[in-house]
Amino acid sequence: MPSITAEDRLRRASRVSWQDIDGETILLVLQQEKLIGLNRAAGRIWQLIDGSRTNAEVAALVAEDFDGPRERILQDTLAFAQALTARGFAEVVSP
Amino acid sequence: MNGPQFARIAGLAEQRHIPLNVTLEITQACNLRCAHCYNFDRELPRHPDPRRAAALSDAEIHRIIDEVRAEGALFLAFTGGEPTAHPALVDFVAHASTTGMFTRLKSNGTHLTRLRVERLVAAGLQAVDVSVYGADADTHDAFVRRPGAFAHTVAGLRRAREAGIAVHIVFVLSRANADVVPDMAELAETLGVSHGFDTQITARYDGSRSSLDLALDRAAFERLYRGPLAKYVGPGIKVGRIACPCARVVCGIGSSGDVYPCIGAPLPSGNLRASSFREIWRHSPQLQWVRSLANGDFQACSGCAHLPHCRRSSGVMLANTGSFTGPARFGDDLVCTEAEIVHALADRGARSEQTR
Repeated sequence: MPSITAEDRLRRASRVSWQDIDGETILLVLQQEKLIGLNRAAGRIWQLIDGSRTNAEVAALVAEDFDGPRERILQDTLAFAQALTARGFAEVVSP
Repeated sequence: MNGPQFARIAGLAEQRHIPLNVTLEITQACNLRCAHCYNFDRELPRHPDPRRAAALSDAEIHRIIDEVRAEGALFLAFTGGEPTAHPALVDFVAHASTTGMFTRLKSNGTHLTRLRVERLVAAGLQAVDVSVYGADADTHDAFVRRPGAFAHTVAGLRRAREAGIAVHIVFVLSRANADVVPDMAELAETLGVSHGFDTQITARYDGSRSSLDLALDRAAFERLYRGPLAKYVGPGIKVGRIACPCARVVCGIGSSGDVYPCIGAPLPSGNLRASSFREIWRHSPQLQWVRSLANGDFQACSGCAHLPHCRRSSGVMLANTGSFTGPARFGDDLVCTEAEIVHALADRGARSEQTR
């Protein structure tokens, strides 16, 4: 699988249902009979990947929200994006 | 579903009163005439029930989808009537799925044509519950009072399964089909779908009670739980709280915008044409009353020895006895009879295990 780049735009897969419950983002994957809880930063990334923003833009917004170092958050965002696409929870949107 | 994680989320939602699970009636229209229909007697050509004349518009349904999502819904079931009878169903499913909700239909399956299934899958539909009333056309079609319905239902659920939708059959048991329960289980296995049995038929929301003539009686319960339903006879469940998840994590919305504690509990708690879902969910006196109920409020149930074996539902009780916390006395509803029989059989099974 090709590496996800900062310029890629990700979109949540429709087969993954989700909700923010008391500050925690929960992903429901019926086919795998899984309910997955995301931490706050990952949950924020999940909410932002609607296909309209690049990963760099997503990371910038997360860095603002959490007042964290931009470069490190970008690396974390890319790692998370890679994991999501590898599991089929998100897909790269064609430019 | 992974148990501990799901239990943790469900517990959190209960504590916070988050409506995780919403059922939305989008129409009262239906192409079948099921003898037990809880909405109204479908044999009547015209009915005074004002809900039929006050159906939500498409725009109102779209607004409601956004409102329940914003208040915390994760699961949204579209029901009716027959939801596939609504021309905008695919749009509603697409809208709800886009927000992130898990979408499900409660359907009779007859309108699940190849094209409609394709469109529903593309819109994001993930599951469908199909009601079936027999294992063959004779039994099923007589119950739904529409010749040919069984063949269409079976074809529809096959198409849905083949398209990757999670299909679950709900066999509603009545005096008309109690003798063919093994055949029904075999049908589901042959079709490769999960199934369950609903043993409770309710009075109608319009107040008419002729549907109850079809309900299983003591003799039928005895036969079923000694025979094909014996696997459901077990040690019983320790009941912490008698009140069900109604108004805590479950909510129902009627086709004219009435909000209920559950779609199976006809207790109008506000109308979405007059107030927002958030306002009703958080502040409706009826929903707050339901949330406040303690075990002691369920007078006949709180000390009942059969409680661990009881399938009581407050909605069914409200429809059948007029009391959400009913029955007033043990035996006033057939669910008491059912629990008594299951309990006795469970005790007998436990004793025979001990003597081995």
